[in-house]
Amino acid sequence: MSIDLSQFHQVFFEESYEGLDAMESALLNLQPDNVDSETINEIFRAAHSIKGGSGTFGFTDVASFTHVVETLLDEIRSETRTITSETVDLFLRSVDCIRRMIQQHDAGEPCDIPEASELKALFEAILSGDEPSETDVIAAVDPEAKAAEVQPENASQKGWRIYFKPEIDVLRTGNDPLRMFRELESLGSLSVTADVSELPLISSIDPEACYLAWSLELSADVPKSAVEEVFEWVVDESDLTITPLSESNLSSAENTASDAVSENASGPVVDSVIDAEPDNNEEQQNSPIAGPAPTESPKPVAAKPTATVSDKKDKSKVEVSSIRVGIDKVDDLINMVGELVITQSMLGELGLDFTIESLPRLLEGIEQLSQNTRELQESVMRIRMLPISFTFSRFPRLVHDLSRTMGKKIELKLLGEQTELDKTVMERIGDPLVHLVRNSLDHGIETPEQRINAGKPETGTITLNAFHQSGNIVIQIIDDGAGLNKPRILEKAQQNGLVAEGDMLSDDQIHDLIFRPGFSTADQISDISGRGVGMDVVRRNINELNGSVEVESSEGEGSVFTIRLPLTLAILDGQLIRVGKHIYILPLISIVESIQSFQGMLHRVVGGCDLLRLRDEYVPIIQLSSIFNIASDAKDMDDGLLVVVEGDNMKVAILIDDLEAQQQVVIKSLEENYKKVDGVSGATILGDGTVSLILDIAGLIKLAGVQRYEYKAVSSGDDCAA
Amino acid sequence: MSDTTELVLESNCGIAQAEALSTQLEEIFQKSAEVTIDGSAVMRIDTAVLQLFGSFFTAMEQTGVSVSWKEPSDVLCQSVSTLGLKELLRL
Repeated sequence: MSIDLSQFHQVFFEESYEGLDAMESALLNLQPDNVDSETINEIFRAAHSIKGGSGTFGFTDVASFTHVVETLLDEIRSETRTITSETVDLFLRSVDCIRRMIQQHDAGEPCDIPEASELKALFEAILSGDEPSETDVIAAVDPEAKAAEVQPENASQKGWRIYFKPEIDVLRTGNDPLRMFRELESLGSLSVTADVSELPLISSIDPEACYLAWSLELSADVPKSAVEEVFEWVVDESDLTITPLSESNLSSAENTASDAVSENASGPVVDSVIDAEPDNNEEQQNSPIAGPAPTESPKPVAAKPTATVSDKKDKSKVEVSSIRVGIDKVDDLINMVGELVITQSMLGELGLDFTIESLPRLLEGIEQLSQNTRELQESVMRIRMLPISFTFSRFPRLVHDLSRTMGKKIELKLLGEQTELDKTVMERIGDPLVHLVRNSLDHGIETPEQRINAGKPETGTITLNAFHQSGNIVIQIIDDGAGLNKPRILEKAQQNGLVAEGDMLSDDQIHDLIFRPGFSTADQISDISGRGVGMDVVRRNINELNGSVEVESSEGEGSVFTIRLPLTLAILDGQLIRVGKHIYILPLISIVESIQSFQGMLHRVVGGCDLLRLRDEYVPIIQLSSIFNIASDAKDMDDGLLVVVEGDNMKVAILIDDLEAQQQVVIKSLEENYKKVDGVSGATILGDGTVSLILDIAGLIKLAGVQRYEYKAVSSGDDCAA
Repeated sequence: MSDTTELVLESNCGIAQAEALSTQLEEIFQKSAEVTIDGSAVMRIDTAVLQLFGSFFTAMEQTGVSVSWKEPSDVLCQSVSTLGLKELLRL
């Protein structure tokens, strides 16, 4: 009887990913001048397991490649060969290569990694004693150097062809293609062809949805990573392919006819080339632009680049499709279910022969059931909790590679790696964390020379710290770099109109400006970020997880970015509030305070909304009854209660009728079960069976049209400045 | 139809303004009146708004009603160009 081995493939893939992570981590810890035999053994064992498994399951390409890697490791292990930093880099590159091979098998795609044969040949040359030249090794460990060598000198052939079709919700998440393309323009000459075939007419368009797709040609001598970086925030939410211009030129030459026909058939397409000089607007002013159809037929879209390795297959993007659960957690669960069964049978027995004398036992049983349910819930939630080391593990390699590229010396410290958080939260916090770490690495930490001149140690330090605090997880990214440049931030904010000339802002308020959308334009200050995606998107992504991010910085001493997140997205600590007959839920984490008596604290700004004077600041007031068009008990504003909440980095006061209970609520997606509703992040079912809406503070602020001004109280009198 | 409507764009045409603008554009489309869009004040514009104009222009073109730009700002022209919408938006 033959066994169907394919049923074990997924386990093999997962074990291989873990083995590769272990190899990578051990390689990064390896000191070539002081080799620890146990570290070498650990790397060897991981490679050996992958080789064995891939051979067993018929992935001969992986087995064959891993075999040469393992052989070289064996020689190092038996001390017949020494290890150098170049060899370590070669092993790291081979880890990347094996990972990509496994990812292709995992995705059921044909395995085609050109780099594999080159690396394998290099390993074989080393093993045969035919030491490759330094250039060969450098080329192998540095694909960009290799690409530069391979690419023809002809400048017109250098560049990238990009096909970008974002998902329909990309604009709502703060990711604007315009900003990305501007960033590409800063890299070189960009030609853009928009596909507008799916654009609906004005009467049926959703103004915040994205219906466009683009084919771009970037003529620039830049590595692929520079292009990928521009799209790093949207790679999971888009159809994105990036291929070398020369390669796609060849394929397009072969496919031009058929592709042009198919693209034209799909709908109208418009084309443009970004020139260095702006267009002459004079000719366009007051010229009729619609009416007669254009005489020029739409240009055919260039052939779509042939997909090679999907960009979604990067290590950092691999989503954990299953989780390994410690046996202790499963045992807890079984114990809880056992308790539940006992309680259920006890209650069942009671129900068969119930008399009023049995009431105390019934109440006791119900109390027991309630406790069992709570404990069961906690146990189930624990199953979804994973240590943050799953996310942190990507950073040693990131820091290793980027610090080499930038010529900086950086030590990465990881603290609190065993701190647990929900798997979904962890998957979604990865990208914001990468952005913040890169930001610290790129713009925070100075070059060794600058550090020595500033009297600092030559090696900078980036610390990632995670810990639990008040039912939340806190993640800090700490660097001992140059810190934020306050005068430049202020200057930029004034240029962008975010701050008026003469406004007095505290240090914290100035630092906070980096999270404003105004800073995410192409012309942004280099001290903060220069990647086409600003800190506003980082904050927005974190806010979407019901979390917050803030920065503390001291010029010359470094910065601390602090992220606070709920431990899970499935359950929310909520405050029930009542407006008229309706019960809504506010996330407890968003509530700053509630105020019952606020006579004399209310102010009206001409042309603006009502304001609450809260100590030294003015807080806009949002009336839920007006926004949701419902009747409230309060006839006058003074009759209600104000709950001051924080969302989208600003405070607002929400006028309600009453505060009800605080309780944990299970979040149900409104989008999945109904449709997206502005100002509402989800729904839940209350104990009495009614559905209650969970309020989205940022959405409410937008819905109420509250402008983001710095409302500062003037110490004398009741005036306020907006 | 001899009436001409003038739509004056504000300096900030971000995604937050897209919904209100969409309503305005649909009203203009329903009126089937010629329209001039004054883009001289535009200092910031997002993809969402340019996409709206793309949709509006296509709809107006289908009904044969003329749309023209009045003094489009450099930011507006460059943004249209960067998104590859020059031909569609006639800029």
